[in-house]
Amino acid sequence: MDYFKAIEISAAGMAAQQARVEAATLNLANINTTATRGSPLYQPVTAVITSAPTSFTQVLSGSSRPLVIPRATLVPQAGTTPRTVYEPGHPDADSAGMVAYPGIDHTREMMTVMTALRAYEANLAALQATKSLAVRALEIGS
Amino acid sequence: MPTVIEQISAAMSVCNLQHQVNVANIANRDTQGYQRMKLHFDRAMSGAEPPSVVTDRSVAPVTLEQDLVAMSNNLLQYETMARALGRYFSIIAVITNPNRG
Amino acid sequence: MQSGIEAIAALTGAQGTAATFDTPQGVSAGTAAPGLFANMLASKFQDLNSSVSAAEATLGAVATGKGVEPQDAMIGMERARISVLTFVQLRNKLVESYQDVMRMQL
Repeated sequence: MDYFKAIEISAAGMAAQQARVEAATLNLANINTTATRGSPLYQPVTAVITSAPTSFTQVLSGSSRPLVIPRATLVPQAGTTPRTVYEPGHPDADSAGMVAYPGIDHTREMMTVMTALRAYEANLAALQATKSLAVRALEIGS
Repeated sequence: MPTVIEQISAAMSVCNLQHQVNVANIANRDTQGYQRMKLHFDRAMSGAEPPSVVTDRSVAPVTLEQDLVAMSNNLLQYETMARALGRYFSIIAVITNPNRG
Repeated sequence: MQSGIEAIAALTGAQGTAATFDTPQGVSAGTAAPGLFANMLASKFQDLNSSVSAAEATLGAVATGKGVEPQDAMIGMERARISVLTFVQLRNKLVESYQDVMRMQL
């Protein structure tokens, strides 16, 4: 068994979950960020995780066992509409006194943080399990 | 007829393969388009043929906890066999070398 | 890969099975003429040597990432270790019986 591949997959899983936490915390940090004159309104982001084969050589050799490595990219969230609040005194209010805030669902982002954290810890447990398998095999004789 | 050692080694190899599957399933829990994998054991000659990695076509959703429990059980099985192998060897060593184990 | 147990089983003329360690044979040496002791040891040493180098080969294969399961490498090492132990026992017993034979003549 190739322990290094398994460790690589777990590490990639941890990185992918970390990206999800990054996206969620970025959104939460900007939940009340308005669009000041000139710059566009903050667009909420989400981490999209796709899988890639482990290496080109494996793809070329047609390996029947597709070990998949997860990779995350931050993309703008689709289908979010800005949330408008009536604040006539706000410097960024429009002519009707409405201020636009990013359409960020606080609960959803918090849920993402929690599930991503659990998944991160699960990948960490998997990595430690791989390590103990490797060490245990070496200790057979003694 | 495979020896005891060969049987244990084959079982440990199955555990290694199962661990690979567990690791991939856990790491790709939130991967888009990812299909869960599992080991398929050839029913015709159970134990004679090594299992193959196939996509898990069952529709029942598997929670993260279930994945972690499965990984933990697999690890325990591997640990048990490794220790049994060690004890087996020490018995042989004592038999061949009664004075020093 | 022949183990020391098999070697001794062959030496004592016992009917060995395909299993290496599953039917362990006791270590016993026949009372052959002194000249044969060296030949016996030499030939059994060849078996020991091949088992040890086979174990080293599996170890190397694991290190270079070729498809050898790690537990097989450790099993090979353990087999080699027991082969060495058995060989040493064999040598001791042979030397012992040789000395017994030598003492008898006096």
